[in-house]
Amino acid sequence: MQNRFKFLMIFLSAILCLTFVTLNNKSKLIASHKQFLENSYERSFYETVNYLHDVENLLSKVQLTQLPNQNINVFAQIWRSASAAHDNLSTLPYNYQLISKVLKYLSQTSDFSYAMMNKSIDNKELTQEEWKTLNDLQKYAKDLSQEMEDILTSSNVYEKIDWDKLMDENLSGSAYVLSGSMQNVSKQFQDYGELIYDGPFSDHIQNIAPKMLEGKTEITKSEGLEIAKKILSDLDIKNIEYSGETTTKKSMVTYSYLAKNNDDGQIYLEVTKKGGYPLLMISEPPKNISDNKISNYEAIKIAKNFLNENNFTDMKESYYEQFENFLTINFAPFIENVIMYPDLIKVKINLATGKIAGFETLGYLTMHCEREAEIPSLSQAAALELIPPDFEIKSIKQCIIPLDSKKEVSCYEINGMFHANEFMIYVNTNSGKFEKIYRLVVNERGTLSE
Amino acid sequence: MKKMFFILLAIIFAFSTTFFIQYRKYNNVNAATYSWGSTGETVRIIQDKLKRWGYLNGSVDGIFGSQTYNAVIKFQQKNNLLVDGIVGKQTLEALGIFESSNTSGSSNSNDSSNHENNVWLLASLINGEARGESYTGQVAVGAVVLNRVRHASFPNTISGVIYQSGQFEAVADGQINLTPSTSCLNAARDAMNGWDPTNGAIYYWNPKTATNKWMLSLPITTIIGNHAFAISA
Repeated sequence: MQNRFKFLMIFLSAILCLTFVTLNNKSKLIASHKQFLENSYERSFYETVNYLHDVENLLSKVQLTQLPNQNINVFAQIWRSASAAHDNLSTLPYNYQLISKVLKYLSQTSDFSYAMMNKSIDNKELTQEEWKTLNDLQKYAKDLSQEMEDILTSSNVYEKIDWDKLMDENLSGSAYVLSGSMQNVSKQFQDYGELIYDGPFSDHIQNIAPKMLEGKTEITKSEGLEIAKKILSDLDIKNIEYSGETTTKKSMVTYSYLAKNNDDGQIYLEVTKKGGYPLLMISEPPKNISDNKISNYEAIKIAKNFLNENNFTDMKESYYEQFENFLTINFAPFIENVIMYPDLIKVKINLATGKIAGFETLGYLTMHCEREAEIPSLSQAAALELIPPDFEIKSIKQCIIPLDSKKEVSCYEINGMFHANEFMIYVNTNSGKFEKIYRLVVNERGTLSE
Repeated sequence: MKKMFFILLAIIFAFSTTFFIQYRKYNNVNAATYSWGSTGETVRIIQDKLKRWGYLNGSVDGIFGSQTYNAVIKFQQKNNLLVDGIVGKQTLEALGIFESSNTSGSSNSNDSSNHENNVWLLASLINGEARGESYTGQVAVGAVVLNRVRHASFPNTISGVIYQSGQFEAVADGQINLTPSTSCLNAARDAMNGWDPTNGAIYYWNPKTATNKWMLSLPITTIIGNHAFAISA
């Protein structure tokens, strides 16, 4: 009896010891993980503050420059510093609402500097308005940099930043401000307005009104339904009904429709309220992959027919990608031997059934219009002179391409091989500038550009 | 004891074999040559290229026939290659097609796998956030991520947007680490190819479960499945 009791006691204390040791190790591990996380936050915070200081410093310096060749490298540094500040700030666990305006400011400062740098490279002088913008950006940078340095100082001297608390910071205007909080910074950026310039983060990008919808009359839901039925007429549709309105873009409100095909797969379709254009179709891929019955070439033909039937004429295929049963093909208008790349339409074909599986016409509806024929001041032969001698030229075509700012430029598209890679070089038909260079990825999935 | 040792050895062996097979699979897709009578996807790519560059008159059907043969001969003559009508490594390279990993210069496969990695990451997020949604709902979640990448107020990369703190529940609770379903991989691919059923939304939430007051105060611009979408206040 006694022996048994003794044994039990030893057994229990052994378990207790083991539990204690395990827990102790666990909590040590948790503490070290927490420390690691805090360290990385601290590091990002310091980096943010340092880069913000650089941004402010550089923005004040750049205003001293007069000539393009004096400011190129300063703009390059602002571009880099603002981008680095943006990257570091965005990794910190702040409430998004507090920092969204600051992030926007930093994206735009970086992007604007990049645009100005390119302008200077083209040897153009900045306008009065652009200098004013730089002055405004510097004012924000000054406040921001000062405020962030103060936060850092006070976290060093008074109260260390508790990142856990900051993460769930209550924003309902409590009087007590946590150490490290960006509430005050956020207030300073309340009035940070819109910035329009030649770059991808300019505010005009989000507000481009679709050219195709201009002046078009609005259709009703039931008219839209008829259009939807017509688009899907080649597919075996069981039922189709109106499912809602999308108002995300004020300039392009759409009606959406849901249909079922004979495999019970859902098909989603959007038709624009103005003009009744098909904007988008998505169909649920079948659960199982089947054998592909048609070639890519046939699929392209089917897609082209479909576009013709829906009044998207003169479209020519460019890149395509195959994934399992689907081929996604990019189309652009080919008018008088010029390819109009801004007016992009994508069509997805099911290679097992040879039917349309999806399309997307946003680029076309947004950008398509009658363009004045561009007469190049640079001849094809002169453009080819600009290409390195060991570039093996396969083809040259005239085209219009969109820049990141959505501005359109007329280019020669020169396709060829260089060091065992295939490239597309877009040479400006007037200035000879290499506007874009794409390296093509050709594999069993198709052709992609990068 | 001895038995245990053998079992262990067997397990290690099995692991390394699978690893090796996988490794081979990823690194050496196909280093074959293509000649009269060959068929398949690569033949189709060869034909497509020859057609685009004006060498091939016939159709792109994936079958290496007489027309393809003549086109290959023409291509080889024009490009100072050995004129044999057989598409081997050199002719493939001249055509810009890279299949084998053995060439150190084939950086093309890197580009392709970088693209694939981003598709995978986006698909993982969609899987974590919306695997119960309709296919359109999955594409929509992917599109919101990409709309954020293009938006000044968010990080400017897919990984930056996805891992931004406090933004996606599936990232916070680790569901992003689940293997994405085929449906989510397809949806990610469609979203990356430009399909956006939300027309530019940058926020979404589930009206039944969301608690963020600020988010609930946003004007809803479209509803897809269980998610409401919005652009800004």
